[in-house]
Amino acid sequence: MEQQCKIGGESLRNRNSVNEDIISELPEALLLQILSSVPTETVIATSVLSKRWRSLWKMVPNLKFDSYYHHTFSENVYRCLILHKAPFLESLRLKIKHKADTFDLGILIGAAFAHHVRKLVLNIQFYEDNYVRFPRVLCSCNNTLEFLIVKFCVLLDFPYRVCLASLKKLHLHFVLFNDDASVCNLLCGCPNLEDLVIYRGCYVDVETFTIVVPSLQRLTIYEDKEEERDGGFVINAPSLKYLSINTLYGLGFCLIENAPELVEAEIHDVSNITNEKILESLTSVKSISLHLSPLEIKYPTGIIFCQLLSLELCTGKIEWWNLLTRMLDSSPKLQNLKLSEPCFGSNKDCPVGWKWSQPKCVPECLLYHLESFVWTRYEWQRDDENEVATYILKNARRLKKASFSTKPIEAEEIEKLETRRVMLNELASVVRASSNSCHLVFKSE
Amino acid sequence: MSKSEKKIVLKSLDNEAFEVEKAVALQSQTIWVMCEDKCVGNEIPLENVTGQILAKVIDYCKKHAVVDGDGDESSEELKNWDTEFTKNMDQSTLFNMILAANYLNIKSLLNLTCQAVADKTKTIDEFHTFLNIENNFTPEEEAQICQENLWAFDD
Repeated sequence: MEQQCKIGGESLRNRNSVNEDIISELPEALLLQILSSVPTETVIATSVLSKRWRSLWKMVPNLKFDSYYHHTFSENVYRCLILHKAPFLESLRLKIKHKADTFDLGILIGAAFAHHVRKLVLNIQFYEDNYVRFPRVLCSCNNTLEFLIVKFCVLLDFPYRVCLASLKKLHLHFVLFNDDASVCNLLCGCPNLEDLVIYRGCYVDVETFTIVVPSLQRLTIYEDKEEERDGGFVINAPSLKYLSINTLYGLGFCLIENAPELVEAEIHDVSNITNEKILESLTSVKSISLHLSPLEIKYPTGIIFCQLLSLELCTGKIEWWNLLTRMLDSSPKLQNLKLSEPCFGSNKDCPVGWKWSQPKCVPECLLYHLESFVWTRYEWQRDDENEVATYILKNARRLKKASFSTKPIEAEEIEKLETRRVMLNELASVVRASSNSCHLVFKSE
Repeated sequence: MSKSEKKIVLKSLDNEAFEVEKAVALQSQTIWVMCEDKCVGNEIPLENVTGQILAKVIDYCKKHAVVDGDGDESSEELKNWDTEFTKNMDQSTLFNMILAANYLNIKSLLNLTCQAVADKTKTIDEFHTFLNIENNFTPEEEAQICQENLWAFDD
C-alpha cells in the first residue's frame, strides 16, 4: 500500500485548511456513525489509515456483507464477527448468491446472535433453483433480535415453536414455508411482534395462511400470482391499526376476524375474493384507500364508516362511481376525498358514457364535513367524470380546497388545449355559484 | 404570542447574531432545552459554532421548518435539496457541520452530514484522498495490519 504523505501535526489547529486530516479529530461516536454508512469492506480497511483508526472498525455497529465480491465470504464474516467489540451489534446484512456460501449460515447467524444483533437482514438469491433452510435452532431462544428481514430463497421450517421474545418487525419477502404449522410456530413465538410484512410469489406452500398475533399493529400482505387457487388468509389481530392488502388475484378468501382498532387500510385488487364482506371488517378506520370495483366485492348493506375522515378511490376500476356513491352515503364525517387513476394501465375498464346515478339525497359528509377534494389524472373529456366532479363541487358546502390534475396534452393535439380550458372554466363557475368558499387549483402533469 | 416572542436571536462563537423564527431554531434539541429552562433571554449564545457554519445550519432548519408547516413540498424535493446542500461542501465545512449538528442536537442534520462524508468515502482510496488522513504507522506495522484483514484489501 502506498505510503501517505505526512502532514505537520501542528497545523491541526487551523480547521479551515483543506489539505489536512481533521475528520480524525471527531469524537469516536461520530466517526462510528459515519462508518456505519460506509461499505463494511472499506470500514475494515480503515484499520490501515492511522493509529487512530487501527481498531475503530471493531466498534462499528452496522455491518453489511455481499458474497458476490469474495471467495472467502463465510470466513470474512465470521472473522469480522469474532473480532468485533461493540457491546451491541445494531445490524447485520448478508447478501448471498451461491449455495456454497450458505453452508456456514448457522454459524454466522449464531455469531451475530452472540453479539446481540438487533436487526438481521438475510437476502439469499441463488442463480440456481434452490432453497436454504433458515437455521431454526437459533430461534429457540433469542431476546435481543428486534427486526428480521428474510428475502427470497429461504425455507422456513419450524416443527416447534420459536422464541423470539423481542422481535417487533418481521418482513418476509418471497420466502417459502415448509407447512402450515411452520407459520403458526413462527408467529406464535413472537409475543411482541408489531409489524408483519408478507410478500408471496407464485408457489403454493401453505393453503391457509393464519395470522393470529395479539400484539400486531401493522400488517402488509402482497401477493404476486396470476392463477386462481383455493386457500387464503385468516387474520386475527385485535391490536391492528394499519392493514394493507394488495393484488390477491389468486386467492379464494381473506377473513379479517377481529380488528376493532383499525385506523388505516389499503385494499387493492382483491378481484377473486367475491364471497366475503371485507369492508365490513374495516368499519373503525379513519383513512382508507380502495382500488377495487363494487362488482368485485360485496358491499355490506347498512354498514357505516362513522370514523372515516379520508377516502382514496381508484378511478381505473369498473363501476368505481357506484362505490363512490356508496362510500359517500356511508361515511358521514368524511373530510378528505381523493380520486386517482393509477399511472400504469391507463386504458380504463370503464365503458365510455356510463350513467352515474347520483345519491338520492346529498350525503351528510358533503353537507357538513368535506373540506378537501383532490382528483388526479382527471379525464376532462369524459362527460361522466365531469358529472361526478360537478356534483361534488356543487354540493360540498364546506369545501375549502379542490385540486384537479390532468394528463398532459401532446403537441399534435394542441387544439385540445382550448376545449380543456372551457371544461375547467365550467368547473370554476360551478364553484363560484356554490355557497362554499373553495380554492380551486388546476394542474397539468 | 406577540411578534417578538416568535423570534429568537442566535449568537455565534465569533459574535455574529442571527434573528430567526422560534419554530426554526427549536429544531435544535439543545436550543429547545435552553428555551424550556428559561435560563436564557431572547438571545442564545452558541459558543461552539462559528457564524459561517451557523448560517448554513439555519438555512437547513429554515428549509425543514417550512416543509413541516405546509405540505406543498414533497419529500422528494426535500431530499434533492438536502443532496444539493451537502454536495459541494469541502471536508472542513462538513466536519464543522457534523460538530455543530451534534452540539445543537439536530438529529436529521447529523444523519445527513455523516451520510455525506460516508458517500464521499466508499473506498479506502477515497478515505486517503478526501480525508487526507495522516498515516503514522511504520511500514512493518502497516504490512501486519494488511495481513490480518487481507480480504478487505484485495480488489
